[in-house]
Amino acid sequence: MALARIKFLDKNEEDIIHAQSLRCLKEVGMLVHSPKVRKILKDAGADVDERTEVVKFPESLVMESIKKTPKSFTLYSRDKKHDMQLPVDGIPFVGTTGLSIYMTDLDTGATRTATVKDVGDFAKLGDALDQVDFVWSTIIPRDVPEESHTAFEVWHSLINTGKHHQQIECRNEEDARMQIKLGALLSGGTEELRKKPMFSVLVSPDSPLAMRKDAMEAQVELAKAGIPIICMTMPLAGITGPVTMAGFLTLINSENLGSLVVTQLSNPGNPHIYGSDGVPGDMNTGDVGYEAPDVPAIFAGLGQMAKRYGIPSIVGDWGLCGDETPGIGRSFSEMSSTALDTFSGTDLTSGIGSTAAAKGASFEQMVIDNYMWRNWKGYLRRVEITEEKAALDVMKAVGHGNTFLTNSHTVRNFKKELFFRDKSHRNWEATLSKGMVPEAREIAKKLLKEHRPLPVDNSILKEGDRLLKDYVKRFAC
Amino acid sequence: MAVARLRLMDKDEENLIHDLSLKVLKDIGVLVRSQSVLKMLKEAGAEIDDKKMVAKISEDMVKEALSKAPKEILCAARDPKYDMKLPVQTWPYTATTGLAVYMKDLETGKTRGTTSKDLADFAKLADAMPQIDYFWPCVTAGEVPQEVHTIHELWVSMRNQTKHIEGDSVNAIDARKQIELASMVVGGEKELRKRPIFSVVSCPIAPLSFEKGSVEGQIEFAKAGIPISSLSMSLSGGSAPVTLAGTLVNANSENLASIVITQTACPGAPHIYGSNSTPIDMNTGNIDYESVEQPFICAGLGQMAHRYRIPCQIADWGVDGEDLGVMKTFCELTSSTLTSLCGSDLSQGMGSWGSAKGAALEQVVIDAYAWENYKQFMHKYTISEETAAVDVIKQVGHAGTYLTNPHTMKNFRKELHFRNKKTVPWEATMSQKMVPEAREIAKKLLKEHQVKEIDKGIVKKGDEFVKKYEKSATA
Repeated sequence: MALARIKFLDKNEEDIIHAQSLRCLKEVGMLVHSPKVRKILKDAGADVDERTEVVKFPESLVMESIKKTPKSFTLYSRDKKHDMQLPVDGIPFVGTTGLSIYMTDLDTGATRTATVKDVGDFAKLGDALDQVDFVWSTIIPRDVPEESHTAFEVWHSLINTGKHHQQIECRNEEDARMQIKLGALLSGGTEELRKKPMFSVLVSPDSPLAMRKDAMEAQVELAKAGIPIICMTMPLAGITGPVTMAGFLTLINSENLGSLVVTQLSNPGNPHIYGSDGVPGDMNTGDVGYEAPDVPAIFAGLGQMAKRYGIPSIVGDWGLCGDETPGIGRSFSEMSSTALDTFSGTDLTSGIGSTAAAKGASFEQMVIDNYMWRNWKGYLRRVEITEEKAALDVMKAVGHGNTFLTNSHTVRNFKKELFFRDKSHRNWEATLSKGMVPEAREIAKKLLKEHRPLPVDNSILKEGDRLLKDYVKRFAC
Repeated sequence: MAVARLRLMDKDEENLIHDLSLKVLKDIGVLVRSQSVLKMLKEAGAEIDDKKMVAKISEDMVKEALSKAPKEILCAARDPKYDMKLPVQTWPYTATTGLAVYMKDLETGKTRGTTSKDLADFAKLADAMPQIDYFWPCVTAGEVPQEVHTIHELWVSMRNQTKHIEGDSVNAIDARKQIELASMVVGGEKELRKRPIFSVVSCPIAPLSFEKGSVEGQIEFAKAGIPISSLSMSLSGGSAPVTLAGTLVNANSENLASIVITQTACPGAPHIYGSNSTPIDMNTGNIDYESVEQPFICAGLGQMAHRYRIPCQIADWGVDGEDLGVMKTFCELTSSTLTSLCGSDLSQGMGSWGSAKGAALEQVVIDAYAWENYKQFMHKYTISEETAAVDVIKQVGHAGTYLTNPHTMKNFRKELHFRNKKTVPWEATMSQKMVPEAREIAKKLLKEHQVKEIDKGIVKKGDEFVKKYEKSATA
């Protein structure tokens, strides 16, 4: 089966990135602020300097951890028809954007902060949109104590969608336990959650090469409970990562390997996803350069490294609004950067509904990105290259200089072999335009009003709310 | 050196396309509507059915032809600074669109037929724009007799711009005349062989046939050292099987057959593996240049050309729409733009609209500016122990910043790529807003740009030569 993908590194260059990453982990190591995690690493044979808190990873430890990481697994959902089997066999699974700090109000169009109700609405719209495969915790609610926002995100996303939920960020060990507790409540127990975790969590090292105490301890706790870990390291080339392509890939790869060691030592065989959202820093403004021309090559290189290790990956974004307000406000070649990311060979991609380089989120944008993905998927599908499909007998039958149009082979196969775009919203695909926003707004409103996610039993809902109520008490004063 | 390329097939699938192409050439063969070319192929070992005019080509003949075909090709230019050496390392060389039959008048904006004077304007604009690497005669010289339009177009193109030209193979006599005319400009046929300032497209007619005129012209060009591009037009569901695998086999077989013809006529003659294949639109029967499958076809054929190590021309550039501007949606546009990532050495299409039937000077400017930004995706990066910079990673240390490290200052311009932000608003899809601005730029360049002229004596001789040929051809 043939698949169009961008290839960036040749075999020899892949070897260089791998070898330099091992060297980086061995010679430079990672700064690990947690004594607990340092101890885990030391016990496994890492070279730990307690004074500087730097941990150096021997090659054998890294290679052993790669070996332990499962090469295929399922990301489960509350509604099992949305379970996702990794790695994908063609089109990557696509999710919503995450951890936005503000949103566009659906009624007034104004930019504002979000509440727990909005968290649920983003999950609900994600549930309703046919192209969305899983949801990220899209936005941070501000009507709950900051220490507890992640727990609220897990709960209100999960009860509002039957799809897999990926929680962006876990604050600390305590938060991890709370997230596990809420998940277990919906799964019917901790063992059930371990067997079929309906959520996974993004926990990442801080670039360059540092592991925060709280986040890493949370990762250990989550892994122990069988929750899949997504390492999504986010260096900016030239700022928190080397500016050279090779150096940048080496850093991201090293951080991923370091993170994977922690997961595998916490719970050998725990699902772990290789990921990055590393792009160049904009050298004029210091901003995140999501649309830089170098981005597709970075993601393609990382996709190759993940494939080399056989580990499912999330290296590539989808989401077409770079502006503060919804619409497609980027030029064609800038948008192409994002679009080409999806050819990296990634298993998962996310970003539906994002505005302003993921700082904002919008319901209208979710509808627009969802529509665009439906058309975009055509490029990412598998096509069969077989002797049968090559159809020499048909070529013989048609003969030289004649037409295939009238041959039954064409009639029989064209719907299978050719991809037909949905042209019903053709005008939504205009770059540098906000023309599609009012239409998308009406669709979002209608779906939010009418869509019913798979219901959760009332007693469970009550119990979850009670758990959260108790949980926030400790942060109240 | 690492460069982003779109790939479609694994090794097994590549092998399959190759094996099945050999089978096609051996079992089905190609229809060659020329007695002389059939005779030549017969002498080289092909099995000929004289009645059907079909030549069946053996695997050995293909292998031999592939071994003789040069792996590097010089497409020279009248001004050597525009010489193109194939294969490329990064993005393809890109040309204008070719032989459109109507254009937009730059003053009135009206659609009208084209003349040599218009072609001269397109040539001059192409000469002036650094984003354009070589020239396809954009529009037809409509005022000259049909029999001799190619020679007129070549002559106008040579005089009004200095970059490499890719023309057409029409028939053997015309081919000889084109060779003689270009020889006058470069100082003789020997000189032209060394520095071919033009190449030609010689299209097989899909499925699997060769027209008398163009294939006999191809022989003449091959003998003179003029590079030949066998641009297969395998249209899935029309002139090729609707299945992707079938389209790839058809286009690959036609290219291999054409390479056999070139190498049999003149071993070692430069030949470019080419394609402009895409499905037909199943609703209208038109050629669907925005099909989702076009990038797959290009990526697959790019892999085949690389396998044979033959320089190739399988990409398009240009946002061809129903009117000037960028009249296509993002997903539609992506189809042609993705083709440039297929590893092609040459591409073309700037200035085209109305499905290549029309051309416009404004559109040349718009497409050229968009290309400037788009080609950045195909930069080449050095991946080495040195650029991996683990020593710098060590220096910066954990949770530090690279911004102030000299490594960043030293390398950022080499490693990161910057778009021309001035033309970003030109990249709006489904919009004509950029057209007035592009029109002003085209006008200014046509007014101010000076094309390096051909020696007056040669111009006079060339004019007489063309006139004489016209007289004999139309007599």
